[in-house]
Amino acid sequence: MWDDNDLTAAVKAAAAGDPEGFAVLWRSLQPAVLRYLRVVVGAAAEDVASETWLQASRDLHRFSGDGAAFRGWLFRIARHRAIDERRRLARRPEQPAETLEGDLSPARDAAAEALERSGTDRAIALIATLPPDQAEAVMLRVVAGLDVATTARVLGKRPGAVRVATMRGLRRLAAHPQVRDLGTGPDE
Amino acid sequence: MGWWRALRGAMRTRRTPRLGPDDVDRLVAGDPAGPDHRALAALLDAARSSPTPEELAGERAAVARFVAAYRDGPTTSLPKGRNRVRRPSPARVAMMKVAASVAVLAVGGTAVAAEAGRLPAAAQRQAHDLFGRLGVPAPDTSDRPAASPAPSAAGAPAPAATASGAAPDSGEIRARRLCQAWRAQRQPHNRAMTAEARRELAALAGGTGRIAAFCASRADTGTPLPSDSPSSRGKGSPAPGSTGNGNGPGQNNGNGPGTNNGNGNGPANGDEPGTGNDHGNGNKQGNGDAPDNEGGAGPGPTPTHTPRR
Repeated sequence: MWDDNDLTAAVKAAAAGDPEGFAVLWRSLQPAVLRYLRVVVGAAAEDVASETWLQASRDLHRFSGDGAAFRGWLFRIARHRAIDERRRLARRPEQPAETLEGDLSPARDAAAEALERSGTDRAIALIATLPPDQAEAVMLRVVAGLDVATTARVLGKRPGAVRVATMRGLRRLAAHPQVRDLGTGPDE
Repeated sequence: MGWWRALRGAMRTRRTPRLGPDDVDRLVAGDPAGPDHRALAALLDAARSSPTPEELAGERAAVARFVAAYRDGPTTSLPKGRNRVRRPSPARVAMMKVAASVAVLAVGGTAVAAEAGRLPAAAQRQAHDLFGRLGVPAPDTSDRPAASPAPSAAGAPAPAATASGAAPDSGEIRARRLCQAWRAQRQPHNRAMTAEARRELAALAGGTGRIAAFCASRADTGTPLPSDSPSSRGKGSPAPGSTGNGNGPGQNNGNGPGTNNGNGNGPANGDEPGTGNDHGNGNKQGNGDAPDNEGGAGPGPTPTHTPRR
């Protein structure tokens, strides 16, 4: 999805105000941001991704780091915006009750509907069924491509906790009926 | 280990073999997974597959927002920068602290002065020696409790104000006093007259323009103001900060009820010959050119205070 050297150059250019540099960053990372946010905030992912990039746009001139650091920085913004979004939902008690329920059951529906979807959507929907900490760890490690240390910083956890959450998440996925159906082992 | 393999094989009918840390690393890195984890690997590959057109649909809008944000960025971030500059620098903070301590000292000094009159003579002497500049009076030699230094007196406002607030003086004394205040306020470091006092003086002189002439005839010659006037007795009342006054004219000391307190050996004494008398009056010293009149320690009490007591 990206090459950190290209990203580093793009980060420098974007920090200096170059729209093309920013476009490279966006094209490289928007899909991962969006997928991560779909797991975290569901249907609001597009909006939150948009806010994420807006904040990144405002703060980029102050960012001095390479491409890898930028990925961590960007996902930290995304996570904070996602948390804001959840609080916003929680603050509206009436709607959220339904929305939340709507959000939860869709996740399960999503798993159920998975067959009709593209492989990517199906995978994201399945990961979204994991407990939140595992889902986030898997998304940041696998999809965002962050290393353990960076993931830990984004999540505000210790690296050990990230390792454990990732492993448990992957085990759970592996045990998921749909995944088992997906894989056709040689001896099955 | 054959039995182990067999057991695992048996279990596989029910569930996928447990992932180990190495498996996790391989799966996360996208490296080829063993046959046991092929399904999971496929799932993860799908999760990180190349972007779909829908996912990249918003590029133009995002770049437009970036351009706008970057264009506005300098203006929005500039105020922040300015704020940061305005935020007190360490030097400034230090200066403010010094100023604050000076203020505290001055207030504390006057408080001490107010309190000090009641101290035993020895302690009072010591305090006076230490803080004479701040207006701690010399020990009270009389038996009377020093009523005079009352804190309110210590905190009394600018000399000019005291003058204006004074009980009615006899006209000439009043005029001279106002003139003194008027002259004083033309000195670089002295306080301005209050508007009230200025108006009063102007009225006496017959117009603002005539003040100079009016006061010229009442030059501060050092001639003592009549010390018998009730107000002049006030001089005794020490007025912290008025410290300077007492010494010159020794005769003043005895006068007022509060008298004793006023005698501080202000360093100012020598500096203004002649004015000593006025100081004797208690109120005036504020007007004096004495360099040590500065600061909160400053203004002497209104002479009227003493008489009232």
